[in-house]
Amino acid sequence: MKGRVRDGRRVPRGARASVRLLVAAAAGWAMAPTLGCAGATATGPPPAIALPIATSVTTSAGTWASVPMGHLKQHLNTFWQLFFQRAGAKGGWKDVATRLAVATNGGVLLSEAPGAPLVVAVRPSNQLHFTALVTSVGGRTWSPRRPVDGTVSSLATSGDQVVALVKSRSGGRVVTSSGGAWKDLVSAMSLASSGGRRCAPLVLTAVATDASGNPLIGASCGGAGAVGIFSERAGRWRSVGPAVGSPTAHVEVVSLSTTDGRTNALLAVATGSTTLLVDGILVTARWRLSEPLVLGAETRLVSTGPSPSGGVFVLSASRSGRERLAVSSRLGRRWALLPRPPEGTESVAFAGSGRVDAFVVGGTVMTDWVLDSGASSWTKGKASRVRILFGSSTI
Amino acid sequence: MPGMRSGLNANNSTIVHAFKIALLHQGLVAAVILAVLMMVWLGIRAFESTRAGGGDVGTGGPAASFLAGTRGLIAEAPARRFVRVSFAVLWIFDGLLQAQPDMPLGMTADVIKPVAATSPAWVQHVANFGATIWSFHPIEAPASAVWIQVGIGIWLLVAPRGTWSRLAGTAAVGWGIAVWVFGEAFGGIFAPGASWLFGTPGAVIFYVAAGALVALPERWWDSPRLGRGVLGVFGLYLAGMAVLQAWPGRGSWQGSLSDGSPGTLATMAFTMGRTPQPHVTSSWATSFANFDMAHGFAVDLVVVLALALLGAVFIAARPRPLPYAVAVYGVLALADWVLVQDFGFFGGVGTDPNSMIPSILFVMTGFLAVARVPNRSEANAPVATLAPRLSAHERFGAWREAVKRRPSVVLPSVTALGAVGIVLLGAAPMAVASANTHADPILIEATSGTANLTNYLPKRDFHLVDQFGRPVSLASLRGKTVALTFLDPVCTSTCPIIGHEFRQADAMLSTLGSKVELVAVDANPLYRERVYGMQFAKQEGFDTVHNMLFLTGSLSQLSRAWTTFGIQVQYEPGGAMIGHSEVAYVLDPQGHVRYVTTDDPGQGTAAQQSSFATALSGLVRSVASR
Repeated sequence: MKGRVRDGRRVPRGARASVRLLVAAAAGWAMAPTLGCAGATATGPPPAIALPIATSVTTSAGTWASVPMGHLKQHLNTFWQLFFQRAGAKGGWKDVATRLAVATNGGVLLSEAPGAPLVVAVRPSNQLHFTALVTSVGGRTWSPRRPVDGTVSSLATSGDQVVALVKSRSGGRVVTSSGGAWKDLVSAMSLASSGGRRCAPLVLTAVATDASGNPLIGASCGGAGAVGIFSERAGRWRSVGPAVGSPTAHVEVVSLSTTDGRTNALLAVATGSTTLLVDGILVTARWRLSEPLVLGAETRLVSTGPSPSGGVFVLSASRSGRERLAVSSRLGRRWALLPRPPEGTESVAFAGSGRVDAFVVGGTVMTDWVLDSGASSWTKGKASRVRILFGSSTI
Repeated sequence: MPGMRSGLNANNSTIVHAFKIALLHQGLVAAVILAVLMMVWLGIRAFESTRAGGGDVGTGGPAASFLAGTRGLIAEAPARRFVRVSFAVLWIFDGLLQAQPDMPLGMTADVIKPVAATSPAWVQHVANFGATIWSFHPIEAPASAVWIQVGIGIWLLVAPRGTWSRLAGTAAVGWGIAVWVFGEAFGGIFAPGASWLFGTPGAVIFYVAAGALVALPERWWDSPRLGRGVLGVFGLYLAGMAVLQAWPGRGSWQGSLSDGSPGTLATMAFTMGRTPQPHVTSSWATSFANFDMAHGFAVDLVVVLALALLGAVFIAARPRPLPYAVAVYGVLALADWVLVQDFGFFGGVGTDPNSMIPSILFVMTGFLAVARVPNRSEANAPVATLAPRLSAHERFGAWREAVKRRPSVVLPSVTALGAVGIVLLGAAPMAVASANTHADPILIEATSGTANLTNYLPKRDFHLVDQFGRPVSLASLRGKTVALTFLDPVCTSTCPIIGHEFRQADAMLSTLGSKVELVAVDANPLYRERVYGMQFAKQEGFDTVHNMLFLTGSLSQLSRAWTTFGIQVQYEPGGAMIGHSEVAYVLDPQGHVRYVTTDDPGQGTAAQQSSFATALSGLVRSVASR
């Protein structure tokens, strides 16, 4: 056997080569950043779209809208405002975020149910790790509800019952409370192992309650072609989502909402560089799907929520900032494109009587642009300056 | 990286003043050491001069050999003397740089963090260890660094030969490696953009190499092989740097980017030129940056070719081209030192003259070791070759005999011991600081001032419930020392940090904790339900500590508690959290308020949190142990 003699022992050539290889590999690994080599990235189904949380809801007391303001590129200097306009009021929007008594940098979720107070979930940020919940009756009284451990990413109410989707590393979990302690309803892992095998691995994305008050859960499916919408019957969770045309596309449930007994599911279908938005309406246990609304590459979903017509609205913005507002019809077949909202619109609200308000944000100023029923262009309304305490959430 | 930024301005007067005082105190100790040395020196000299014939070296035997070695009859190799003295001067210079007033707070933020930030996570983790020691002990650590480095420099100077000299080299290696790993994040060799121009692999690695050369057995200098080895290693380094400099895709070849912004080299020169310094040196760096933006490819080509060529010459170590290669390298390195590295020591937190000067000294050492090998004829052969091989016992006997003949033979050892004393003057507090995981309270004093000593009984009691639903009042807390504060359970920034600090303080109280209650009162007028207190307690880990309470109650009950302790609570506009006073009180077992201190956590760094916890536990301990 050939080889170098070291300390009286012969080192096999193969062993030397192995050592060199190991050293070279270690050096290569260590020097990779120096040489500018990019590391391999984890693969998996990409999210169809980033889920927006800006929204608006209309209750019997009035219309509520959550709007981000401040320095929108700095998380801790973005403060979400809660604007309220009393039903039938002629005046402008009133910012009631102060009444939340908590920093709103993490975002504000809204949920309403007929006859029940508005439920506001203030998502945690920075050093806080649980979600504060507040209910308001007509913007006059404010009462805290039990906090939710973790970050709530979707919220639904039905009477006293509140259903919350909580983010987790394992895909999320759904909890429910009727005023008492929060109880675990189901987790992504248990859904995947029961009713969602086709959908697995899945990430929970939305919750709602159906017309009977039973929880509905939306998900982003790892399996192509599967639509992750689940409901519980007789103690078992079952997949109840519609079938989409493309068996190779990844589908994500962007939002679920129930209005006037109809459940809307806004679906994002990833097809190459574009995303198709489809509004599915559940009518008498059958899904009726709208024609697709095409979102171009690098288009951002800014805001979504229920529209008074029984469908949903979708506010999106292209990379250049040009925005588009589309509303699905009650019958769920077509999308109606409204006149292009002003640049800088962060949220819209459908206040009834066909009027639409666009909340245009420029730092600390919110300008209300109005689209009256049947109008072909937006009219600039009242601008209001919000006193924002920049830096108050940073340490 | 947690713990790496103190959150205070580098010129914070409290810290700077304390740093100067610490240096003054240690300087006085150093002066005492030097005075004692001087006295010993003069005493021995005086003693020798009074002895007739005491200075006779003699003509043979081991004792004579000892005396010959100590009196300089056997010359130190020129290359060894060069590397020892030149790096000794650099160590002393670096030690003096460490005494700059910005060092205590600027070192981690402006030196360690920027280098480590672009390195892989494991490098950041390692560098964070050193940065944490520094930021937790902003007085002891920098003051220690001053004396360790000055001490090593003096030690190298005063111990030219023998064991003391080699130990000085070893000490330089040890401290240099510590600085290179923890202070320089491995000299940035694992960071993207590593380049000879920017100082890769870090200046300190040359100090380490120089220390290692001094630590070698002296006979190694009797052959040109050592010099060839030094030059060979240096040549390999230059060749590697040439490859790195030529590597495509690293931006080295571009003076400016497609959008007109400066390339990597020009950016570095611009950045260095903006460092506070004399206008003339700044203008040199800026001018070079502009030149590189215009001729980036040519500049890089010159650098790549020069490094490759010089690397080849040093590896080959042929006698004829060597002096020219050393000269060319010197010119090139000096140009880089002035134009790119901008001298390295400006700006208040420069810790050394950067890599070029040490690298020049290193390559000159190699050259001298090849070109000027000592001629060891029998007349000036080293001690070891002249003296017969002796056992340790015999050597000690010979040493005693030498001391008898000439007492001044001990002077080099005494001088070296003095230098070691100066090193220990820094090393001892540094070791203590490294072992202490609690930050110095001076950090929080610098942020919020010192606690106010007081003694009064709160005018009114409060009646609240804790997170478990048990009623709690000031009266019910009598018999225990109480640390009391007011926290918003849904606060997103400071309150969780204050809660964390209280928990740290509780851990520091150890067994005293059974006599102490740490109490937080709800400071949010909306979220008053006990579930919010429980959730906050869970978030902050209060629920696992027996003596930490989160109190709440009705709005009127809370308002009473707030009024009693002068706490302002108010709704803030625009989605901001509730505003409230950030104050902590320490109450004695009789219910008297003994200390009032702000508990604003500043920027909430790990160092400041630990510092507050140390200060609070100190206040609680002083009250509880009365």
